[in-house]
Amino acid sequence: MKRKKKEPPIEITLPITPMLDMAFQLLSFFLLTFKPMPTEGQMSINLPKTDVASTPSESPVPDTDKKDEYTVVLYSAGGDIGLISFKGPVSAPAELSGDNKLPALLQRLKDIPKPAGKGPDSISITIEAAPDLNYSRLIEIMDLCKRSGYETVNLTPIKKES
Amino acid sequence: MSHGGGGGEDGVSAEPNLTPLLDLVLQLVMFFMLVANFVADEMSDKIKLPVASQAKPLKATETNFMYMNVDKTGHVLVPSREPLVSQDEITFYLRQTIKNHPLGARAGDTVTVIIRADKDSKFKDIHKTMVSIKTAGFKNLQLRAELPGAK
Repeated sequence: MKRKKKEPPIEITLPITPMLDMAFQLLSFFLLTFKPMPTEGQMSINLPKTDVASTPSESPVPDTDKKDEYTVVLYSAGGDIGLISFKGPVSAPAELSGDNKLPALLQRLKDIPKPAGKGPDSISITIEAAPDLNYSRLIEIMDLCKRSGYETVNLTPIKKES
Repeated sequence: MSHGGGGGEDGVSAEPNLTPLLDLVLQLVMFFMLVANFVADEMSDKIKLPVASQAKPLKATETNFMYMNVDKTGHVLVPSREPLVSQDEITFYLRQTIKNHPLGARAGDTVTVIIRADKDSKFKDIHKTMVSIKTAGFKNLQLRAELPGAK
């Protein structure tokens, strides 16, 4: 019996060039429209106190857990910070204005006396801001608080009696 | 005998191997596709964030979060919806978000709301959004800022 002669293997050649053209077009599209997002970070903040929350609670805070409360009041001048009022239980109230008000506030925040054996966590900082204050200026003050070691601050609108 | 690049009488045909090049290009396309679409939906690029040196990047463990984009006019920008203007609208939207969240009622405790507000927005608009977040039942709040030298 005669053996069947093997046929030569069929060589398949895929046309890669059109696919490469398309891939290059896609690549150029994504390269042109690519806009890297800037690096962003978070700043922790306590939720605002509402009227319900401000009523006396049934379980009062023990004296050992009570925090010294300091308030930074930000008055607006056309969206910018016009005047900063700083008050607290230990520090003398101060009104800060002029070009050096931010370094002065930073110094006052750093100078806040901490209770013996406790760190910045034992201090509560509340920022009272004018409604028309620019958000970027507010963030600047929050940044100062964090630089002084106070990780979380309270934010509230300026009180009428302030 | 044929000589490479000669162009002699034999009619030399040069067939460069394009497959590795195609592989590389497709990998690049894939990279740009992933990077381009990753976060574009929730994070509006209309918002210009304020700069804060002490802002901290999101922790890897914090996986449950949602964004609230506040533009310079104080409107809250929400994906595939009209901007939210009033406090009631914002609160309603957030309540609906909790209702439709896979975590259900626990979403308020576990999801961190991140406010991305424009640097030219006013404090009253941020406060309005913050009050809505609290009223809706969320417990964790953070403000987002840009790290200096990021651009």
